[in-house]
Amino acid sequence: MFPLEHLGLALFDGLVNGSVMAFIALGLTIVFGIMNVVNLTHGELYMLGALTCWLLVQSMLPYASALIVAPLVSGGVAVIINMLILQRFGHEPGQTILATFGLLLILQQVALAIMGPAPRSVQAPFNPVIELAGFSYSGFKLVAGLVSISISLLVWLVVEGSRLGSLLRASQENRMMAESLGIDTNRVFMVGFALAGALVGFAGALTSPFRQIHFLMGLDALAMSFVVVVLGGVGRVGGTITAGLALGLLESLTALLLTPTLARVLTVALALLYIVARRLGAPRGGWRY
Amino acid sequence: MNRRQALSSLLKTGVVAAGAAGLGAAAGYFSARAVGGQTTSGLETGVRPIKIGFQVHRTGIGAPYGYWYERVANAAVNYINKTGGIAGRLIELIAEDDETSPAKGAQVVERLVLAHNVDFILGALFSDVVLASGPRAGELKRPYFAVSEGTHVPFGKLNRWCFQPGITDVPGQVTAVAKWIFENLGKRVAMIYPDYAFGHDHRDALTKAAERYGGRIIEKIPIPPGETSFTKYFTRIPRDIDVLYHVMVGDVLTFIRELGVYLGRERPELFGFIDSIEAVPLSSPGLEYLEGTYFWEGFPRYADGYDTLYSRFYREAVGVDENGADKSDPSRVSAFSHMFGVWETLFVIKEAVEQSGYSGQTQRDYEAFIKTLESMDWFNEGLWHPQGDKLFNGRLHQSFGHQFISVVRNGRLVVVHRTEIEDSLYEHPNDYTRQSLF
Repeated sequence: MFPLEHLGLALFDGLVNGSVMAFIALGLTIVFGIMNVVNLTHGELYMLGALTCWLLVQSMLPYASALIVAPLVSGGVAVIINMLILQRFGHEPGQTILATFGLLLILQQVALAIMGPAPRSVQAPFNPVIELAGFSYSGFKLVAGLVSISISLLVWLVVEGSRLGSLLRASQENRMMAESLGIDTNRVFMVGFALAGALVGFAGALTSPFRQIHFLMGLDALAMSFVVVVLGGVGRVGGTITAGLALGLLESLTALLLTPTLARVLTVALALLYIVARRLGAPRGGWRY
Repeated sequence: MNRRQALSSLLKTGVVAAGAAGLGAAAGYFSARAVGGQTTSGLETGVRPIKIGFQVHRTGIGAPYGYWYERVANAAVNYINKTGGIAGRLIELIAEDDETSPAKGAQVVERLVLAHNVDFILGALFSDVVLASGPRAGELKRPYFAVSEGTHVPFGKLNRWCFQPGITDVPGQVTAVAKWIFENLGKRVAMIYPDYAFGHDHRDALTKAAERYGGRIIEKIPIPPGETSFTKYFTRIPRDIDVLYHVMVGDVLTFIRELGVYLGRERPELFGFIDSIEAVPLSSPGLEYLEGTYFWEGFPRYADGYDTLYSRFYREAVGVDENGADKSDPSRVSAFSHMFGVWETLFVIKEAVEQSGYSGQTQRDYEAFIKTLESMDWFNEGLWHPQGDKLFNGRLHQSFGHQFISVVRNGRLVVVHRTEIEDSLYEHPNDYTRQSLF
């Protein structure tokens, strides 16, 4: 059996990692979940946020400036991608997947040309080691987790309770009807892309001091974001937050009991089982968040 | 949307994908063909150059190594061509990106042989690419030279056409440094390693070495590939160990930072493999935690770690400064512990061609080349082998050499021990010479 402080650390680390995971996936929930656009550049927009942060810090600018500039860069790139390419295809799934896959490669190669192939890192602006119930934890990572969960909850409120959320859903569910009611669906999609890009760009800058910055880092972020979004129920921001936290906790707790790789396999297997079970209609009354 | 419109838009998206591929090639910013910066004409008029195909990790996860492997290959070819070539013939180096992908690696081998008709292939670093490429090279009957460290060559997982003479393998490296670890840092060891072939080679070799030198592996902690958060695994590190042995690839900076927060200053001795921080500046934020910890190095990053006439010449030839970084960009740290393998391999090819009398792609010439190489048993330290002399085992197709142990002191790697070749030797029943060539 493991010592009690290990359980405390697993719970704590699981919640922090889960919050960050959910935050990274949030933009994909908006674009893929609500707007039904399969945007494979999501992970690269995350990488762009981190890359922007590294470039700014390298240029002797304060880390805080990255939290403002990175969302603008990633959001701006997302808007350009939508305006110049995806909008012209009417966001048709097959062509969107092909186009965003091509863009994913382009963004990776641009990053490779800018930062080189070696991994990069950014110094945290503050990083006290916090002593908690028998274990120590990175103060900055804890703050990043808190910021992640706070912004995620705020976005949940905005998307679920505001006119913007209604417009996004209406534009996706019946574009023709929305347009006949006077809604400029292209503009709504543009706002959706900008918001999603800005969020994931912010996440890239926020996590830079405790994640390695590398031109391929977007691939892992993309894969994990899809898992979180699908697990949480496509289109449900609350579901994405819950799924991120659940996955983070599950990974941490299983790692206490099993070998690391088995823990990972079990986590993904349980997530898949859950998705299948939900598709089959269990439990009674359906799933609500 | 009608079929014409659909085709039109598909073509447009195709342009985006094609643009990606094009930009990828441009961002590779390497020349696809290099004849050592010279013309393709031979030293003797009308003589066909010796074509060496080069499988490079220009993109993908191996790119930090690929950049330096290619740079060293070009430097070695330049030097060889300026000093008489191979048996009076120039080398033509034909490099292709394998994207650090096994599938693409095998395709590159095919293209190098079938489209470029190369005489030899300078192979890859990453184990999975080598494992996919070696069999295809064997089928196409072209000598394939891995610069990988993996056990696939010596342990008989490939075939008689595959060699690894320019760099030592993981079991040899681990066996050599394990003796020093158990004698100097302590007997009770926990190890953290990636949960795939490269990490398993470390696990198996250190476990065997522990039996040999009276050490104990208290805990083995394999980390799944692609992991980006490590704290949850650190709870498995026992409190009562003398040494934490770590070798990681992937999100290494995060690994070190989280390890630092978890263990703090009340830590056991740390011994790592430089692979974790190869091509990474020691000044990177978070790496200050490594101060006072030990590393294996294949060839010391800092010039004063092994300052010989030959190592100075090699460092100058590949354009690396005394801190192991690019002379024209000190922030770009080299893969110094691995890339010398490319240099030394090219000189092994030169030596084997000249000794065997290889002149063209005939069965007789290849047979003579391979048997000559298999009969070699020693490479002397010199301009051709600046890392040190090496014992070559023709049955295993593998070299054994000296290893370096360094400590991080004031943000630099300082060599504290150089192992003997005998320390790295191990027994294995594999014997490639029993396989038929054709």
